[in-house]
Amino acid sequence: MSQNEYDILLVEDSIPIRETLRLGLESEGYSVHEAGDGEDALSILEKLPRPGLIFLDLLMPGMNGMEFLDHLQSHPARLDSIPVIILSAVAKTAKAEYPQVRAVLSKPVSFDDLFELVRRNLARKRER
Amino acid sequence: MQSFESDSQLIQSLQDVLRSAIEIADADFGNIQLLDPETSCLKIVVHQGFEKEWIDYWDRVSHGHGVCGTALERGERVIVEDIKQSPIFQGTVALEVQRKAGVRAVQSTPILGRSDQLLGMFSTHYRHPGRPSDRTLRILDLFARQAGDIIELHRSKEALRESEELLRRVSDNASVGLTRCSRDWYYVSANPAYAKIAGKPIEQIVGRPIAEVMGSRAADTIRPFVERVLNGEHVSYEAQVPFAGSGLRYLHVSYTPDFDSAGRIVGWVACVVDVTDIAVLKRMEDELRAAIEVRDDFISVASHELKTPLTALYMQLDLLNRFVGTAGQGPQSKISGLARSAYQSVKVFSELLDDLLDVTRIRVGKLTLSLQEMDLREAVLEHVKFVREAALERGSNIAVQANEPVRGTWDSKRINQILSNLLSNAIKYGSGNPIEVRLSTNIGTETARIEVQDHGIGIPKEMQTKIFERFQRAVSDKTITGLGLGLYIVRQIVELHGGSIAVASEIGQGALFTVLLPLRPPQSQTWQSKEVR
Repeated sequence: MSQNEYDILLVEDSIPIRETLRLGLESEGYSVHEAGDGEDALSILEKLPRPGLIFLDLLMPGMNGMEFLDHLQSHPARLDSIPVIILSAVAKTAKAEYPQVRAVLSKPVSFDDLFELVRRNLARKRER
Repeated sequence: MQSFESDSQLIQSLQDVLRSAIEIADADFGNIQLLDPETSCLKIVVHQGFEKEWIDYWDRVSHGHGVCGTALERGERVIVEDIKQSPIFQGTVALEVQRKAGVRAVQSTPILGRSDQLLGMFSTHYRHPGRPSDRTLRILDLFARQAGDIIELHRSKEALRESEELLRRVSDNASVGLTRCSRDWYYVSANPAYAKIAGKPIEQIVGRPIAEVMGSRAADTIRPFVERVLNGEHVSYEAQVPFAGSGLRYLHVSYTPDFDSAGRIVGWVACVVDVTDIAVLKRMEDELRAAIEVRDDFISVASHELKTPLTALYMQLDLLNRFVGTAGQGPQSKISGLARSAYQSVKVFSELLDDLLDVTRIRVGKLTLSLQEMDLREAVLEHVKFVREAALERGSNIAVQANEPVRGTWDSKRINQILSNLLSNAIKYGSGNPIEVRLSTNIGTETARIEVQDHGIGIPKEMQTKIFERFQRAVSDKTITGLGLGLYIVRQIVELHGGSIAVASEIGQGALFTVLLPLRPPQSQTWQSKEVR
């Protein structure tokens, strides 16, 4: 894994939730980048190598989760091939429209479920 | 007829006619009779020259009796030149009555109305036998015609008076305000209901300027409508009119132009309904609705605001539990115990908040389903496994009867919510007795059937429909917790799937909840699962 490579991009506006997720994921050995909204996330995706998985909140100020997914789909760099797990307070599904969405979890989510989903969906096997 | 006789004006006029006729026609006696339409009898109203005895005898005459009765029968004038020779009187008591009075000759002329209907009889009597000359008869015709005109005029006046009286009674007792106004803005008349609306006694309204009675602000309010009615238009409107005497009134008003005989508009007639009380009730209702909306909005906003920090807390405690682990002794075990307990508390908190959020979603029609193929038996077994321990802690064993997989299209998360609510209720109210869960499929109706039965305290009859409403709980026992939202949400979820829920219960015998779910939800429901925004 090169200097800039990482496993998971967390897109979530709530800092405590984001930090908790990061803490949990890092405790399992995953490398994580954080973004506070869709625009942040897009610029990270454009600058750094692709992550193996994106955790995406839906309700965010600025570019929200749905708009972010629309941007991924129309992005020339085929960013829509990165698997996405939606983490939302509103229980809605985006599976029908966005094939890269692997799961929709409603908050709060247990780390048991979360780790299980990461194991199953992380695109690239971690090199330890 | 009584009113005719008592009407001195009519009698006076007819008396004048009779006196003139007797004088001009050289008669010695005479009388005028009116026809009573009820009895078809002729009744004397005026007479001249007769004694009381004669009047009493001839007071009421029917068909064929005497000369006048014969004229009544034939509908034309009858002349008897000599009553001693006339077959009309031969062998009758009437002959003697006439003889005593000195009557020898009689003529009776019918009094006709403008449309030739018989109104009465005009008779003149003579002491000597003979026939009145043709000229005299023509004069008598004129007098009979005049008497007819007088009677008809009187009757139409009477009818007018009666209808005016009726109108006055209606107007006096009407709950609707009625008023007539002149085109120079004066009140011509007003009824008590109008006076009540205006907040002034009638004496202070009638004959006064409108602007003075209702106040200039009120007059300005009605001015545009008055201008229209004075242009010949029928006007209806609703307005809030600030009366000087009674304050702001909410009125439904209609105006009709008032014409004189030449067809000129001399003013208008107003019909005014005071709906102030109704308007006030309506406003209170609107305010109540708005207050309920504010409450619901508040619940919605508050739940959403609470959700984010609670989510963080929930996940932090979850993570803390993992870090601390269950192992260890001394302070380490205390910390892990506390972390576990805090996690459980936050979990309950989070579930309550989810219920509140669901209620606000239901209210705005935003509760949606995320449909997928699933096995209901798997969900039931899984859930029972999950709550078995909690049930046993209360002494209830859960027996499941689910022999075959029940495959269908449902929202698995929402199905779990149904099971979770029904089972937690069964445990909560089950008094520690066994609980049965049964699952079956009705192939014919393509329906899955879930039954959850407890043998606990039961639900009173009057509560059995209420428990499916918002904020309702079957027991007011403070030791049993909850918001009273669970079954309301369950019913909404079941109905969103196109299914139904029912309860059967007796006090002290427990309760049986039955949920019927179509294996495939109706078409109209499926679109919601695709809704993403």
